Amino acid sequence: MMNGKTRATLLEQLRDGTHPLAWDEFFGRYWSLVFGYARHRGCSDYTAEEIVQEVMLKVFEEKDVFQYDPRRGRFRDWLAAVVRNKVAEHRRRPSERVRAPGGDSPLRGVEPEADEPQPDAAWERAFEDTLLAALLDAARREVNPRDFLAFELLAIEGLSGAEVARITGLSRNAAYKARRRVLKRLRQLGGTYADNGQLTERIKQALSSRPGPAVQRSLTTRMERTMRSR
Amino acid sequence: MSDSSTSDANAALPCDNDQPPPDVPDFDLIRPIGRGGFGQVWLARNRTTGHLRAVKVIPLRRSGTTDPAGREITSLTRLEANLRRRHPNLLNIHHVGKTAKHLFYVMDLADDVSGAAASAESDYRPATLQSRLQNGPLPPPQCGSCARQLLEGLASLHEAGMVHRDVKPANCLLVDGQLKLADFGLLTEADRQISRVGTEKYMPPDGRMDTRADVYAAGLVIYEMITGLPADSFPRLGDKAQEVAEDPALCVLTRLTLGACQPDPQQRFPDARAMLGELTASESQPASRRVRSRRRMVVSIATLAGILMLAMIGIWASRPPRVHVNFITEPFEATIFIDDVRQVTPDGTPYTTPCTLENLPARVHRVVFKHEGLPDRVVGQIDFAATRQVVARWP
Repeated sequence: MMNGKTRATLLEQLRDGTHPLAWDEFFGRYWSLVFGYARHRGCSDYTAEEIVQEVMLKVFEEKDVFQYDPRRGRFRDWLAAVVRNKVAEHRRRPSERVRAPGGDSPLRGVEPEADEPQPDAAWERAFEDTLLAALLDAARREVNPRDFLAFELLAIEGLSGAEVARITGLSRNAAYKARRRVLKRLRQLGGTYADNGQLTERIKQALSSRPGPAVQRSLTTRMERTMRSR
Repeated sequence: MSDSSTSDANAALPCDNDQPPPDVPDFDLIRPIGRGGFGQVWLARNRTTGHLRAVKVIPLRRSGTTDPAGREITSLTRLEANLRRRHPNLLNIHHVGKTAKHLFYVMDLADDVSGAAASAESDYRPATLQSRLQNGPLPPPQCGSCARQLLEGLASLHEAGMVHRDVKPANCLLVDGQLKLADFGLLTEADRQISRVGTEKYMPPDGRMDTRADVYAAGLVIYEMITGLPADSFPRLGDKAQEVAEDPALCVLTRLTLGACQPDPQQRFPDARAMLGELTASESQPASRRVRSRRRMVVSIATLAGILMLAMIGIWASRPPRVHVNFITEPFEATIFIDDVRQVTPDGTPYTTPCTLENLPARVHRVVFKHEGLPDRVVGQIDFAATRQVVARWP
């Protein structure tokens, strides 16, 4: 288990990208951000998956571990620029029509960019969602799975104490105690994150904006294959 | 992420035309259908019978390299020596052989990913649990049966004193719709010094690759069946939470995964048989609970009936004794009202005074006499326990 002091800076590390990450950790943390942003900028699911893959390859060019150099400016701005460039490359390609594997109907690779009053607000929000999901993952790795599930079901999924007890095998009282413990740990890990008492609500929103498991599975398989052959 | 040194039957392989297929006695190798760190799995046809099989081909050791073929031979010999009989949930190995360049073994061929039987068609892809999970979680009844089949196969290995060390969805093949645990390349004996090999995503945090590690991996595989989420999302249920809460079978399976994937190995099931035992016990628990609750209901009804009967006896015992009372009016005869009820004979004729009414409760009653054309003669509250005769007059 990590000690509280080291972990108190987790949010800053996440925010600044200065925490060294292997490709699969980087992928696990940022794929949904990149995918969501590519979709937001008019890409089809298929093209968004391509862009995730290209961004990952770009980030890991010749290295095995990614660690952001803060001299290049804010990490989130740098990553946004990488994604925007990849989307722009797709838009410039002579054939903008990308065929999905096995599909008969050609999918539009990239739709014309819609009018967007505040293009960066969406990215900022999505980046914050990613930080919150990463915070939740950090807590998940620290606590016993039974306790974490009790927390998830009570605080995020809104199940009753009786239902949670049935699923986890904990008593109702133990399930509520587990929720309190995990929430306390999340607040510690969040450190400077001003949650205004809305931390679970914000985590709930962050999770609901993530693409479903099917996209995650398909992307994970593609990425594993790509990175293995690299 | 995953660093599998074993075959990944689900990996889509392009047909490699540059290299001719290895020469394997009695079999025509049609095309590769799976690949691992040390060998390739081919779709193959028996030249004599025409049966389609999967043939794994592993190059023999070149000098200065590790010996994957030797390792596979050791594993297979171990499997054959330790396993007393074939298990329906372990992939059947029909034949093991060697050529000058290769070790090969002939196995059952998985169904097609579409669910149809295996075929030599160019679009054939072997069905594994991994390929099945690409379409999302398994339907709840299939979750239960697949979990059971996986654990049965694994338990047969554990009982034969072996550890699989690479339990994962890609190594769960579907043959005739049945789940079969495959890839015995990392198989080892449970009491040996066990090194850390396998697929990282499915390895327990303590890193000890014994039967408890197989239990851990099996827990994660079952988790994937339930949720459709990748193993590294464990134990999150996400969108499946409500469905799990409403389905007792999914509740049982989820609890099972929590027991199997404890970070502390001592908190896990010691082996697959123990895990299977827990599954069976939990599945039968709701039923025995129903029996218990039915029994409880019978007991409650009987108790209630007993109480009711006692109460009735009590009421009967405590009811006032019955008495007879004479009713007399003067100067006119009258009909008799007791507690506002006109007293009549069994055939409905009103009693008229003077008369004796029998079987009256010996307590206080309100008595009124009525005669047509005269005002009602209210006698008032009369205690029949103390009075045997009620007399009234019209002034």
